[in-house]
Amino acid sequence: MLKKISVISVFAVELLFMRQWFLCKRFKDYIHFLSTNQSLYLEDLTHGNKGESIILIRLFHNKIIVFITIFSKYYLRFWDERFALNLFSIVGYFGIILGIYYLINRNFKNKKYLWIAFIFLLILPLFEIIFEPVINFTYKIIFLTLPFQAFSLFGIWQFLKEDKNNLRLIIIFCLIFVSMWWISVLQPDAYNYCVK
Amino acid sequence: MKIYYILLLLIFFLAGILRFYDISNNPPGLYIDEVSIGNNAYSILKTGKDENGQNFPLFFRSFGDYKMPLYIYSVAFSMSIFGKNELAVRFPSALAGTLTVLVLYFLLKELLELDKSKFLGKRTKYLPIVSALFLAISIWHIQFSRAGFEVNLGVFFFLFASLLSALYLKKRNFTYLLTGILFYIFAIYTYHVFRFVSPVTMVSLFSAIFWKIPRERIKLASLGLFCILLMLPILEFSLTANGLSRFSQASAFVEYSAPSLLQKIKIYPMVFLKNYFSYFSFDYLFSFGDGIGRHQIPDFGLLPIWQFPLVLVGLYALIKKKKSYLKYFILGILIFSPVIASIARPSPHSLRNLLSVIPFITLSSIGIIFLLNKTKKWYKLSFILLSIIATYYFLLYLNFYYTLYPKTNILDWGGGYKQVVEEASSLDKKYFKIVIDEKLNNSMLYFNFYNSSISPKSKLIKENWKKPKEWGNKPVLYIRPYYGRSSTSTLIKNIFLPNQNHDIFAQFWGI
Repeated sequence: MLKKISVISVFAVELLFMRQWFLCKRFKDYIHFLSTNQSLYLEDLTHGNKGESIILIRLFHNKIIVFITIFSKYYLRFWDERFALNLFSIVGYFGIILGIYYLINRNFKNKKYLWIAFIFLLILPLFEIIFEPVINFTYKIIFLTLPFQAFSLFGIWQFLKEDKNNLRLIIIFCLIFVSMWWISVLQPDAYNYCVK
Repeated sequence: MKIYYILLLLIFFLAGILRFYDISNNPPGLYIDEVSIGNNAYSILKTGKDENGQNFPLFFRSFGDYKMPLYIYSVAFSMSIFGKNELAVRFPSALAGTLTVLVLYFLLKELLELDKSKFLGKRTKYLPIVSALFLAISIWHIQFSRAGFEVNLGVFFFLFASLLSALYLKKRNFTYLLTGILFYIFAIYTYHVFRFVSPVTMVSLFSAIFWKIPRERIKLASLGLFCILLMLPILEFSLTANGLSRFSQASAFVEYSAPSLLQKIKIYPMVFLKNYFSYFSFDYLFSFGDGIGRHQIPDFGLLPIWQFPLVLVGLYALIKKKKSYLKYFILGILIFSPVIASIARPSPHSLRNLLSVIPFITLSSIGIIFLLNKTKKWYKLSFILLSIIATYYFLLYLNFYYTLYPKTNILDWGGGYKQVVEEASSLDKKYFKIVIDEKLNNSMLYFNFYNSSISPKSKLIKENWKKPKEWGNKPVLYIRPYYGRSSTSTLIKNIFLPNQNHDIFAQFWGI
């Protein structure tokens, strides 16, 4: 029973964290991959490389390399702790990590569906990073975070399932407490990533 | 076995080349802390006193940040060989950085031997050599080894102490433990962050020995007392106003107003936690670093982005490993290294957290071996592909470091000041006094470092300064940043920065 209560509590905390984003109008360009940034960056590089051999410039500062490096950096930003802790909460982020761990480590009946769900999660942020769809931000944040929240609840449940001496349960309740404490003290942090 | 040592020797040379090549000119100038270290070291070498006139101090006042002594004394020694120049200031750090590569190899080898486990299968034996190679080419470690950063010497002492402790656990020879403990304490007297990490490591080590080797308990108790004795000066200093001043200068909590104790209890733990998590941020580690120009190349993270999956896989493999010295050591540093840095601002700060380079490098080495184990058929292909990516990325880094970095980040390294001193020195004899605008307020330290003979006739002045009447018509050299033309003085020279736009750093006017 306590395990179920703790999973529901985790979901409640995640919803509370999501709520702080409802006041936002859009994400800041912090996570948006813009082709103009890529061009400017490339121009900067070639400008700084004046006098250098053209072969070296082409080898190191070409569009493909700049695209790969910049794009991977923007993509990683979505998974960055500083951003994700504000979006999913500490306990939620812990749940996502647990979810990935158990997905790799445990045998499930329908493992391939879980993998499909996980790949969907990997792809989901790309819509915002590349296209920045113009829809109501509240809907956007719900669409973006709900699948992750579900995955984190899966991770938390797997973690608690084999809890024999309630130690894991205590860990989850501690994390819920810390998450609540966090949001009560550091609430404005979400606005580092979105425009109010 | 012979091939390993040949490989290790090659890696050691590579590490040395990467850390020593053109060290006097790139990073492009001595930054203000290096100059302060250099001035104090030279003063110690020549007079036995620091720049504030204190005899062989244990804590150097510097700018009020009270620097730890060991790096400054090692620079004094280096200056006795190389003279007062950039090389002498950076030499101890570069040497420590190069030796750290060797020490990491032997430390991991000893830890694996202690554990007697082959958690990565047959290829477990490759872990020390791969880690040594990754550290040799680590952009994070190279960046801090090529400048006079005290923390780099601290990392070397800490790792060497850990190697000696591992040797003690293996051979049960008390001399190893005694020397190891001495080096942990050396680390404390090298850089502030080790005031926490070293004691935590020592306490963990002592507890392990206390339970595992009961016959050593009396020796251990004496060693504990010896440790406390050696740490007394720093404990005492930490409680003085001067010792606390450093904490209040850099404290992360000053940004949050918490007048009452209750509010402090409510806010400070979360501030700490927020800062602590920032040290594991992907953005910080793999993309942009901490944003301080001296700490990384712009837009390069601290770790190459191709190591990102390897670190995650390595962490997974290590967590799955049963209790072992390697696991506790690597995860211990990973967890405890950012603790002190998290109560300071700004956070994250790659200098204060340099020790974390060791667990991250080891994790990526574990990750690569673990992955290659899994790709049985594709082993060779995966290995070649990864080598190509790693080599390309490293060459890209070198290209940035040697062509762009000196231009884009010259101001982070006090660029321009050396030229100012050199030009002022060449004009010195023609002028009665040299006055310097306070906006170039670091000039006096640079004058002291590069040409102390002209320091006495130099003076810092405010922008609206007027020439004193008693100086009469005697010629005065006025050095200031670029403000535009002056109607009362004659422009003698512009000092240009060797950056992309050739900005004017300072102007010399004759009054």
